[in-house]
Amino acid sequence: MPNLLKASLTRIKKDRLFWGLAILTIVFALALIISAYIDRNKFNEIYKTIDFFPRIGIIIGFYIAIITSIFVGSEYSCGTIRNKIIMGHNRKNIYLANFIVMSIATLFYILLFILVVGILGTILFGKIDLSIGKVLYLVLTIILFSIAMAAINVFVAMNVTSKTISSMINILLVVILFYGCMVVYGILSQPETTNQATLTEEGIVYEEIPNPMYPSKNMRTLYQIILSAIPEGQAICLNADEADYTYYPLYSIGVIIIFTSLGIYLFNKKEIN
Amino acid sequence: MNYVIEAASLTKKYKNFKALDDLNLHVPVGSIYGLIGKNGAGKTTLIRLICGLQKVDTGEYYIYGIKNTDKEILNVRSRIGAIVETPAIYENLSARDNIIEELTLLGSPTFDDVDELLKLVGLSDVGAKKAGKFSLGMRQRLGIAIALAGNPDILILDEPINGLDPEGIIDIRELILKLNKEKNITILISSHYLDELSKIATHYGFVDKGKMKKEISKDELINKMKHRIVLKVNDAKKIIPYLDSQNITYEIENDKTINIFSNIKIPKLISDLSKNNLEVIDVLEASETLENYFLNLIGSDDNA
Repeated sequence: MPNLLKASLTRIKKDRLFWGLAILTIVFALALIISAYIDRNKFNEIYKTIDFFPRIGIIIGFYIAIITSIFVGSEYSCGTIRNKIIMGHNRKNIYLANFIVMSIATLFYILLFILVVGILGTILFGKIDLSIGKVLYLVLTIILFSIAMAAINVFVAMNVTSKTISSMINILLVVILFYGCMVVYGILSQPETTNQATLTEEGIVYEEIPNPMYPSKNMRTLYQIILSAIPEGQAICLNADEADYTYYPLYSIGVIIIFTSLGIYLFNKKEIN
Repeated sequence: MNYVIEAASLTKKYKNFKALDDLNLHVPVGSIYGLIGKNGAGKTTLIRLICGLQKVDTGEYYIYGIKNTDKEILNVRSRIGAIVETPAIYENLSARDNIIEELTLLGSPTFDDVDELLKLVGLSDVGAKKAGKFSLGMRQRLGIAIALAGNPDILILDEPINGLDPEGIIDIRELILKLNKEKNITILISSHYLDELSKIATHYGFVDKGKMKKEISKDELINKMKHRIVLKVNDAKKIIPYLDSQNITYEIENDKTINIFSNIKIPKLISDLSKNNLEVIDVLEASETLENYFLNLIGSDDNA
């Protein structure tokens, strides 16, 4: 395992795509803070540095989908995964090493983003007025849902032999999960009641009636679980400012365990050409 | 005889297609074992199984006496270097970095061997060049350098000369001979280029329709292919005393066929046999090539 990790880390350090995405992360962080600073000066909007931290969740899914598909997928397209098996590395270790390296890459992008946003945000919008514990818990939540995304992408990349197909699946998966979670979030955001306008002889009368779109209690619970269990759902909720993310890390750990275990099981059975 | 790789009754099915059918294999230590067969005969499947890329349906194989189901097989695999179908190289890395990557995977504490390996395969001058820009021959040589990175005792090469130009073929041939002679590496090489294999192999395994039709050493094969007189008779056993009395070198192929390897005068032979009331049905002169031998071997089964 240490040899597999060392070799993959050496390779990712030489990967232009990896560094290209790192530069994009910095550009994204700078653009976010600078545009917010301009808005504040123009419209007197109030911004808090801590609110920018979850923004990485908007792009990290795409980053991981791309880097995982290319980095892990090239093991199949170049055939180098064969070398690892032929020289006697066990399949579980090969899978785990790829997952760990992708998690390290994910962690690197998140920390890079938080570093840039944290420093620039503190300079422009003042220091973070939250306890260290709460800040760390938020960062941990972001890291874990991102690693959960990586676990799903590694699952696909390790079990789909074609790099092109695994790239398409991974990117589509991010888009579908994001869109699906946005829809679910939209349903959950429905107000319980709505105003109905009725035209009477006295003029227009507004009456508060139950919102037909408002989900039942059971459905609300189900939707909330869906949003908490899907990493993209967590990213959406955290960016909406009103999430109770106490249990998000547990959901993320669950996703990581399920997808990694299933991925190892399938990869062990996989016939490699 | 000591075998580095042995297989017994290996079977592998892909849906309804039997890629390997009760196949046996014996690769002697220090040999260059040529696995010969048409495209689709099962050579690559056999190599994939031995390399652990695919699972065996039934049967078993041994590497240095370790059974494929034994956990120890993973450790034994570190003594194997292989190229299966195409050389496995990272195209975005240089030749040098590809070898370093392999050495890192093997847990090598130093990278001192890199230059030697590049030199061995004739890539010293292009070590810094990206592997993606290499020609097919250069990729093949880099693939071999990677396969050799862990100083393996066994090198498995699947169709290593496919798509190479004549110069590339000669380079690979010389490299294989050098590795076998100088480094004493046992080499299992599959190919459908019989002529090319005949220049390097010390042992042959003829594979057809997933079965091992025949395993034979080079010396045995040369004997089989020698210029000979094929004598068709009613009862081969009856001819033996005469042949022995005349110090004639022969081989009984079956009850009715004898191969004579000595230089003899055919009219005298027929006349002598006739005097002894031994009937000769037919006399043929034959000398085989590897190709003929292979075709006869496969044809004999096809006609069966």
